[in-house]
Amino acid sequence: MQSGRGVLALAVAAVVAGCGGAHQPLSLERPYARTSPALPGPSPRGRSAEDAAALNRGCEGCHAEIAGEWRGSFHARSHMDAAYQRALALEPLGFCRGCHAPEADERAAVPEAAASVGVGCVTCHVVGKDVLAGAATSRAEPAPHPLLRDPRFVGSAACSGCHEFAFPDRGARGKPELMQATLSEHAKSQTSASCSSCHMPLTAGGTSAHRSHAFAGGHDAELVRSAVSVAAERTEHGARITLTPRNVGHAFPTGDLFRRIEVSAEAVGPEWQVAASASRYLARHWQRQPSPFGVVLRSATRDDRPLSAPLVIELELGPAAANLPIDWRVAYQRVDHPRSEREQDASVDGEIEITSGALEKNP
Amino acid sequence: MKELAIWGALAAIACGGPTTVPTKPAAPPPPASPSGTTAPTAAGASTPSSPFKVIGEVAVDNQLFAASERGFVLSQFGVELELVGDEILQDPLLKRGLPAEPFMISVEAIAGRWPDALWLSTTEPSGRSGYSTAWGWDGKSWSRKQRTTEGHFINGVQPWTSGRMLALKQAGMAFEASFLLLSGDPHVTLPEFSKTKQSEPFAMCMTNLRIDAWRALPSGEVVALGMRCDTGDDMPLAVERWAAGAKNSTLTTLPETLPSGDVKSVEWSSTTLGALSASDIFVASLKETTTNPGNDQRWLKSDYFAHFDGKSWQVLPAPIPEGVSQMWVESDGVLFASNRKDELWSRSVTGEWAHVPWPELPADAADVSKFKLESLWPRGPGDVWAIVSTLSNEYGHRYLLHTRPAPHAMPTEEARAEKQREYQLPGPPVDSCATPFVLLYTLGRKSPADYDYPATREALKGHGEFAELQFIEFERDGRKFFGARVPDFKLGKRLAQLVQDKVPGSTPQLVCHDPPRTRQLDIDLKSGKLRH
Repeated sequence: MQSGRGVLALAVAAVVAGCGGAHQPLSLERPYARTSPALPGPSPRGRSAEDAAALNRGCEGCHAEIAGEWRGSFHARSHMDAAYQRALALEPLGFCRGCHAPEADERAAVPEAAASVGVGCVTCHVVGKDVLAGAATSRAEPAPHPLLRDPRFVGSAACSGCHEFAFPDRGARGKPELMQATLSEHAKSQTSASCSSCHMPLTAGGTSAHRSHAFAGGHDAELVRSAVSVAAERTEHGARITLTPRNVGHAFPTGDLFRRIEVSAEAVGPEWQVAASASRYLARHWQRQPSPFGVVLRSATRDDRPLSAPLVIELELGPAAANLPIDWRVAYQRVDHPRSEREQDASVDGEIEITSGALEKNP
Repeated sequence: MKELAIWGALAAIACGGPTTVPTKPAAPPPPASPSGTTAPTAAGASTPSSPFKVIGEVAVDNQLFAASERGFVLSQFGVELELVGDEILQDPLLKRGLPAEPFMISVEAIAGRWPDALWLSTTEPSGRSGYSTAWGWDGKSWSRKQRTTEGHFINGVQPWTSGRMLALKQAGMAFEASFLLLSGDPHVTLPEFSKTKQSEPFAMCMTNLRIDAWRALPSGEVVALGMRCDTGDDMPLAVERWAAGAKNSTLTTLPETLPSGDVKSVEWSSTTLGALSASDIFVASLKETTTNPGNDQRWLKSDYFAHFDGKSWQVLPAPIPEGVSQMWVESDGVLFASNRKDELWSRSVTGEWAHVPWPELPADAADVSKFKLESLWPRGPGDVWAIVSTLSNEYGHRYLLHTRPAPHAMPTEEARAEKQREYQLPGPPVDSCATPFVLLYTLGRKSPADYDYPATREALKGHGEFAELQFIEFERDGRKFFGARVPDFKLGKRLAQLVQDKVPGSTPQLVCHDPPRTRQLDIDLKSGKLRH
């Protein structure tokens, strides 16, 4: 039996050889076989970090445009990202490193080679000795190296390994609870669009047409703002804000369990001072609860994120607001971590203002 | 028991940064002896220039520590500066989470691995001894993770195998030591100190060794050096070693450390350890013997230096003049040592010792007789940081030194204080507050940058008693605030009541706060107009 390293060497040789030479015929592509390969997912990926990095350089050498997109993406800096590093500082679990540094052994410190690759070209496209790709399109150029076409690769299954998973404490919890549930949300959203439709849109045209590997997501202000439309109106002592999902195929926000939408309103006094304020967080709301095994664990008690139907939020500011104008605001927040059971205490890493406005005082 | 190398041991750990090539000695080395230890190049025989540069002056209580590749300058109040590459940075957040009243704790050391396994140790007064607390860095603030029982202290945190962090805890007034796993995979056998037969509570000798220095090696072995407790009045030096993955140790009394002949007693100080590997360990100490020929007692000081080659210990002559008082290890095998004159020496991987001269210090602090090496961090080849102190005209000075130039100037003390203030949170309006403040308004997000508060000025018109107040705007977390510095809370309370009565929708708060202003409004209290 060939060693994993040997198999990798073959794959590297195949990729590198493909770079300089003439394009090979499509016969190099293998159709999806009964022995389906593993799809992208957490470590172990069956190779050393150094091999993965070398292989990744091979990909980048030929696919420069796509590699450039990927280099600017959060996939590329999945392990280096400061917010992730802060979260890892809180809970230094190998479980986290499995997806954030999939080319490393999650049981040990992440070597530089794996850190710099992050979720690399190889992480998704090279599984064992196969170079995975989606189903061929009419625009597809003949591949210069063997390709394994797998229709699952363009579907949600390719993302599920790291975008839907349970808390790593099933033993203490009794029954598993999802920590991230984007794929389940996607199924509930009744959207027909795949993950790649929104997060890997077709880019460029002609022969260079490809799906973007910038992986636009929760840090992309334009994409985030397109997820919901917002309307606001005054009530007697406050504001009514309606969020209607429009360009999103999962709950909004999704992903990390602490992400949320802050809906807020402030009555503004004559000196621009905040005379009254109210806010609400749309999120999965977590509480520490005893498990059947007597261990106190974080568990979701409520989920009020917009998914497919309009959501109406009433913010009550009290009588003091009746004769004052109200500033309202809807913001998407990436929460580092909660500091207490009070959601206001959370440490927020960053936010994107989705929209804001002002409501005149009551006539 | 703080002098028990509480974090002196840690300084030694800190020196285990990942490096690959030895630091070049400043003077040419003599040929190596068979034992690998050569006679040193004499200090001052020639005066080669120092590889160190004076980076800047730091506060007189500052010490140097390291966590993986990152260095930290600590005061008793927390992290003052970070050493990132060659840069000297200030991050005020690194004090967040520690008690608002800093005099309640004393920050002892920082260790571990930046950023995911960073630990801070504090001691807090309690009873007659106090206790230690290990604080974990959660990415944005410190939080209490473990505390010791009274009378027990954390004596260092060191990186161990597979990313784990190992801490040593020992009693301050007895021999009772144990290891704690602070972070990392808990499925591991912890090394345990050999125990004496004294098992009753409060026994003085629960474990055999009182540790002066210890080292956890990345390969899994652990080494501890100290005095033995189980040998009656004689307290020889001993080393306890654990193989990788072992719970039980090998305890070895070091040769020539028990009294013999007419020596009545032996005492040890400045005991230090330099573990290059599990089979290449140096120990050093200052030996004070009391001889008793008849009734004519005599005291004699001598230097003790020994080496372990993996099989046995061998006593060697002190490799440098004035003995070895502290050692630091660079992971590539270079050993640094200081002596009683605070001279610095380095030992190359081939065993040559060489003097590393200090740089010229600023003239106003150059009282060489009071020069002292406070802490050292050999991060890598040609990349060594140090803090040294001097005394001049009774005023202490401390300087941060580095063997590489700083790309940017170190922030001044004033700039650091100003930046720290930006991050301080308001406190309660207690009598002891030195900076009473009235927080008048949290401003709406859309308030104009040049808004001049006409309603507030109208309310203040004719109130000359507020002449001493400073009306300022300041910002925090993206929000803008308007308030007034007041000389005392009595006057602050009058201001708060006036504004609450006169400006609709306002609810001023008395707080203890000293925010740096982003704008100051000079209000003419007679006319209520702004002075420009």
